Amino acid sequence: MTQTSIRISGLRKSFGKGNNQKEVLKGIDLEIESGKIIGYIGPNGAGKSTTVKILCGILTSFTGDIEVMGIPLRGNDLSVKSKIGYVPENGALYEALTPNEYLNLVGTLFNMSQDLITERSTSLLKYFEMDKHADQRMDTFSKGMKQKILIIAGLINNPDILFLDEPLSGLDANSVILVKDMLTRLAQQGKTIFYSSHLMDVVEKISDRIILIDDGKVIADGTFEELQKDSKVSLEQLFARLTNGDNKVSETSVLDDVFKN
Amino acid sequence: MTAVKQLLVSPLNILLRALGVDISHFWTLLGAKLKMDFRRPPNSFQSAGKKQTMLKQLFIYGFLGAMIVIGLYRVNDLMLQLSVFFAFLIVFEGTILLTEFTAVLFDEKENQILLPRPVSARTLLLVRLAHILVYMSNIAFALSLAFTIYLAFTYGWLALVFVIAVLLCAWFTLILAVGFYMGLSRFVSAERFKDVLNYFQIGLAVIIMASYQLVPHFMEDANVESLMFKEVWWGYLLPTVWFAGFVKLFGGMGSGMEVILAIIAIAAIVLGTFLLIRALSSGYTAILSEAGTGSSKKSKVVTAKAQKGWKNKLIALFCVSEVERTGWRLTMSHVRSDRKLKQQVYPMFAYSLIMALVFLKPDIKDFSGYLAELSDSSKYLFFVLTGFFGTVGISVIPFTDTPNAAWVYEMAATNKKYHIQSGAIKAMLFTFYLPLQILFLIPIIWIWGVHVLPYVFLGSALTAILSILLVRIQGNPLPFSQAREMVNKGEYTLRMFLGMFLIGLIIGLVYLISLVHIGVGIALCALMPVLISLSYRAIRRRNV
Repeated sequence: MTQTSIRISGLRKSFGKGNNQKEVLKGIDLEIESGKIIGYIGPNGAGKSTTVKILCGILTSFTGDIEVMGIPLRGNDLSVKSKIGYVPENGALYEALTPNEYLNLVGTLFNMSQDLITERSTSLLKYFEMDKHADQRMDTFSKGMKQKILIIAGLINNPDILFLDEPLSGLDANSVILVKDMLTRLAQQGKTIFYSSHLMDVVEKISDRIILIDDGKVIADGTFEELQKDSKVSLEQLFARLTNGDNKVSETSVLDDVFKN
Repeated sequence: MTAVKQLLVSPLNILLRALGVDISHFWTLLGAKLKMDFRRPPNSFQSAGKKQTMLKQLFIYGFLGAMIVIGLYRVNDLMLQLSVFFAFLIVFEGTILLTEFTAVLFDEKENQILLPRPVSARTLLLVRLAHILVYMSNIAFALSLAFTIYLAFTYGWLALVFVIAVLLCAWFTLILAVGFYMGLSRFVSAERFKDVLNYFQIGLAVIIMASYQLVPHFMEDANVESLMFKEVWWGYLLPTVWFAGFVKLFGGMGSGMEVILAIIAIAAIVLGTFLLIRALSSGYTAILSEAGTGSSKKSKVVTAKAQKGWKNKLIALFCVSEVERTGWRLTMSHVRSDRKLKQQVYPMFAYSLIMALVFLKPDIKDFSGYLAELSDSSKYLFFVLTGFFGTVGISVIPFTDTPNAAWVYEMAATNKKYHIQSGAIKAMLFTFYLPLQILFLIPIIWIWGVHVLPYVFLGSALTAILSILLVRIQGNPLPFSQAREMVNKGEYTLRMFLGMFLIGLIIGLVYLISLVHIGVGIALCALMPVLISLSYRAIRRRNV
């Protein structure tokens, strides 16, 4: 029997107050099974990152109920956080540290033993071909190198659920293959992968289930085949159709006027 | 060494446990933060490194502390000496906390690193407080070094108790300020918190500056030597008196009153710490998590009407090119939206007014006599001197938190890059300097009459020219092109001194001109627009 790893009901989130209030999430209900790769997609400003930040405990004020691995998030955020990994969109790292120092810090925050931290970080650094940079300060790293460290830091505690927000940003083609392979393997081990991205081709290829949100609401949810409904279109085309992107493409003729002179 | 470390850390760990803090997380995070602080940023021009900059600052604080001791030496009562010193310490540390460390306390850059990890809100808050305390205690020790030496020579080992009290006082100031912030957060939404805090910081910086300048002025006639500490009921409400009592009691000079004061001091620190960490830390995490995520402010829409408004007509009138106009608008957009820039520029406006009061020393007891005496003097020139504060904002325009956006200067296919800078200077002078000069005209005309206006105009115009030329002479970079961390504080102070020295020369020159025929003053005034125009040209013609 498959286990539910994330249960979300009636999730709403607003920013601001009174007349300035803006509702970003307008009632999201989801049940996500363990061992699946979930592609969480949507246009800019749809509420993807906000959802991920709430699930990871970064944003603490919201309405609705969330359970992660059977534990209610509200009031138990530390228990929930100990079971998840998070790979943020931008290079949120202590860049003045070396990868070894940083991973040691993150591992300690998960109450891991020094031996276990060393063992895992050594293996993961090697997997991502970062072992030779393990003692260099990260402020000299390229964007892709920093991204690899973020991914390793997200995995160091062997999480049951891994949240990724645009994890392939800045990675070269070989590293992308490496990450995709890694995510598939992790899912096979029973881990849940919650993958938020704009890269439709990657989402299409690796996701067991695709959730499309727009304007704070889920507008499509299912496997890629279910979303296609025999139409044989790509995820990118589906995305454009469902989020009114088709109309925007037709409006690009405006550009002809812009650059006329 | 490990045993000594253990001896020091063990009692602290007991306290940390009692506060509900994860010890392992606490020491790991604090260690990492201190390690990062002292690692030199790569490619930074700050070749001296942060450590040396800090040592330089500590030396200045030590000097300031020595100045205070010279004042306190005249007081004969130890209780009063200690109370005054702790008052100075709390105000000084409070100022530093508000102006320099608030950003550290509410820095949301770490959100994505720490908030998804299982670190408790209590640990998170205490780590930041401890991190700040490391620096605040360094400053506190530097400020109190001279007084400690004085106490050691005069009262022996009481000095040691004093050092402990200084550390406790630094911690007390910290929890007092953070407790206030937490209280404030109950009334303001987390997203607006930083905006409210910004205006609060600006206001408080001005009040503190005013009290620094005005209080000694009003107290200078008091007979300090004869002042003695008097036991009054409201004395028990003053934290400075609590710490003085603490030092006297544990220094072996205490009696009934000191016992009560020491108990209050210890109780205030312990209860304050427990209240802050155990009860208010969750509010702190809420501020952190919400602050960097969204804004409740409505985006301002620049309408076509606004584009045609009087401000735009003014910009069009005073700027020689579209690039210069862009520089003006860019600067004003930054001033309106950049909290840190506001914090640097807005108080200068108020400082100018305060310094005018300090220089003119109004005598409230005999105000009409004072005015009559004033109108016979040339003290209207003090307004020109303090007006210089209105130009100081120009020196901070090159700095921003987003210097990467300056790539646009590199890519722009124009040989008018420095028109941006001249536009920015014009914007700062029109927004901060000109209104101040107009405001100063009210007391000047009222007290001295219109016949001094040519000299006031001459002084103000020369100040404006000086501020423009200083940009050229010092080779200031283009607006918003340098990282804010690159502001070299020592150099900044030196520039201020240079500016003040040159303003002094201008005042002297204008005073000499005022001694000759008024026609000379008027003739020179007529020259000023030409000289101002030439100064701007010097900026615009910098090599690209």
